[in-house]
Amino acid sequence: MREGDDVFAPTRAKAGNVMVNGAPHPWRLGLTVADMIAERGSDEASVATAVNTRFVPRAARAQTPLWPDDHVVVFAAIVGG
Amino acid sequence: MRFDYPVGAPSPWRVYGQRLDSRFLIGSAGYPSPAVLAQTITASGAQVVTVGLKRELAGDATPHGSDAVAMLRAVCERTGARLLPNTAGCRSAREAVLLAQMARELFDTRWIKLEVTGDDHTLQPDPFELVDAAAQLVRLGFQVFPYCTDDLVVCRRLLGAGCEVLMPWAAPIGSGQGVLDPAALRTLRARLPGVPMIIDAGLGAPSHAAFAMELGYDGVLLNSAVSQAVDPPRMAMAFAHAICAGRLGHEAGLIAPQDMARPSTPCGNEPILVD
Repeated sequence: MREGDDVFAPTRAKAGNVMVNGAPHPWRLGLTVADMIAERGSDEASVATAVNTRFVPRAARAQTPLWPDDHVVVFAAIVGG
Repeated sequence: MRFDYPVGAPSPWRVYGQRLDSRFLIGSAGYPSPAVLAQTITASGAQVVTVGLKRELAGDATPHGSDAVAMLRAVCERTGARLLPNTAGCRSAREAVLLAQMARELFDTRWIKLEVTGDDHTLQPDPFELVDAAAQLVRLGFQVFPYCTDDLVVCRRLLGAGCEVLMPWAAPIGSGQGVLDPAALRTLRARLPGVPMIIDAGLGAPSHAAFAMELGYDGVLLNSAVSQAVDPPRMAMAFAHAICAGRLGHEAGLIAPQDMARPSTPCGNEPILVD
């Protein structure tokens, strides 16, 4: 955040989207990473998450609020070489 | 079908304190079915199996490959094999560190196969980002298996960053070309004695693996040569035998090549017919 930015902008936001793996997901005040995972229909134990390039551990998802235009990535295990 | 070690099998070795009897590390991608994957892992006798991570599609509660992952977890639980997640697809240290943190949570392991790609055509590792990522990950408590080239100086930097094992390539990933630069790998082995080193990527045939092991490397990690074979479980067995043979050959001590013949039968230099 830079000098002059509106630090209260997130709390005044009423609508918008968060971007989850590049696709829009409806935002509402109070939405957390845990809520978003549940709304996507994902198995919370089978995915890992990060918000704005910062890792969010499973235990912290319910205490991690999301704001409009946040970028979230949700990863799952796959086979690999 | 499972590879059984012959009498006089190669000595066990250690990576990050973990004792391993098998020197064959195997990838889990690209198999025709989860069932074939399970048969292949069992047949290989591998005690380390690589896995990956991918962005989950929206609303996809059973992401691509989840059947295979479930099967893989079950096989590893039965055989005692450890999972080694990778950071495939990362192009910067920042991405790799983030993906590694997610991998640690998903697979419940501090082990990470660090891949940071520097070129899309060769998938050659970016040495600068690789060393940066390795240092960060070690500080975060990871045990890092860096996929690197055979560059001695980069390998030294990785050791300096806290890596206790190195995984130099034989050839570009999936190319099946075998060891492209034996001289570089010989130099690396000679200059870093005692460092566990695994040849990772580029092998296509069991003979390639045997050759890599004869050079004195501690293990071989491969995927495509087995998963793309007509019969993956049998190919895994073939590689297991080759890796075992190559290591035994190294431990037994190879003779030095010579330009001229040296008779093996001690019959002397006298002519057979003396009349």
